[in-house]
Amino acid sequence: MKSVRKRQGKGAIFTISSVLEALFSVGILGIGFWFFLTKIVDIHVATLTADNERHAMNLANVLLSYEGLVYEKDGKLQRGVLDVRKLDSFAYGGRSQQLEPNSSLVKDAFRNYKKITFSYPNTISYITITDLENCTEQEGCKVWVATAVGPVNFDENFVKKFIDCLVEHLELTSVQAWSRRLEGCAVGAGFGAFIGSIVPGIGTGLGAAIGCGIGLLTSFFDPHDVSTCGVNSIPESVKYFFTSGSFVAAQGLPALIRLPDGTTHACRIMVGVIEWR
Amino acid sequence: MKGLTIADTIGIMIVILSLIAFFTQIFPKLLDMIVELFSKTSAEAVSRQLAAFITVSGTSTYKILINYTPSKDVIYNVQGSNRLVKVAPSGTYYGESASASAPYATPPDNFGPFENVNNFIIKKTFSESGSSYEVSAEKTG
Repeated sequence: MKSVRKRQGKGAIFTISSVLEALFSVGILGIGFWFFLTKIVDIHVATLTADNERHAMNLANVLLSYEGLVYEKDGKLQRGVLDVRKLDSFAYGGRSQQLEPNSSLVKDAFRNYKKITFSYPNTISYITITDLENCTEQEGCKVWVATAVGPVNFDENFVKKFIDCLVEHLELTSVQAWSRRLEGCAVGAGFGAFIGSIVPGIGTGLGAAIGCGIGLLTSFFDPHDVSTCGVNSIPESVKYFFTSGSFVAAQGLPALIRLPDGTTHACRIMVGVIEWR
Repeated sequence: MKGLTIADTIGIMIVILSLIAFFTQIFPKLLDMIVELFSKTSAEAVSRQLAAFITVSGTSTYKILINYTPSKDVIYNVQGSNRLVKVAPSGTYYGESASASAPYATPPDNFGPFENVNNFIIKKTFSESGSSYEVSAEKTG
């Protein structure tokens, strides 16, 4: 009887110790989770967005309210109604067969560059306003073209992005990295020695040393990381150009042009944003 | 020996039950709370929102005042430089210690720096000489 009670007591002690051990484990798990969330993980909540498209639409929207462009009646700005007199002083006028500006028109627009208050940093935007009710079969529609150059910001551009990304992926400590580094040096030295032996004045030794140095530098990064960084750093407007063949992201917004005689014409404002950030 | 086995089994069962309770009841709520906190207050989200509000103020044809408070609990250090708004949480919060930046298209080219703020005011006013923009910030709550 006594031994049974003793055994029961022993069991109870083990139960408490097991629970304590488990609670300790849960505590460790909790601390690990907290440490993971605060110190290690860096969650990006904003998904990749079509920045180029958004910026083009935003800029078009802002221009439709710009006092240097819209018709003003009794001191009130008429959003979306563009004053043809303001347009003539705001932009370079010409004719175009298509909605998107042709190359000669863009060239003229750049020659007749006018400073516009609105534009995103590290961008060149070209603005096209097409009068859809003033068209001829031979020359196309009446078009106004202007360019806007945004302020240059060195804090955010594709070169900095690429370098930052490479630095993030710099491998200094792993064994594989060191073996790859030696490999890079050896391959580079081989090539360098070969080139050094051919090119007079360099010599095999110097060629090998230069080749080893270059091979060593390239081996600091994983080729996959370099290509990923490269792809991620390409400005969105360039990616858009390669996929669509055009820099114009937005198809434009409808608006009205008010002529001096009071009549209005339907028009379309298009903004192409070329970004290098 | 038998008592010892039973005791261990009970201990393991308690732990398993606790873990089940944690993962089915507490963990989803915790995760939900954290994700909500991320999405509302991350520097990335705040910088984008702020840049969008500044740009959107340009579409107004009459005076406008935009008041934006992402969170009463999280405070930020903010600066506008060459039309790039930089936002950094003042202190470390869950999973979001890095700063973020976003571009905007309207004046002012530069503003701030504002330190330890959580309420942003964007103002567009009109005068004889044309429209003007102003960005200010303060701490509320």
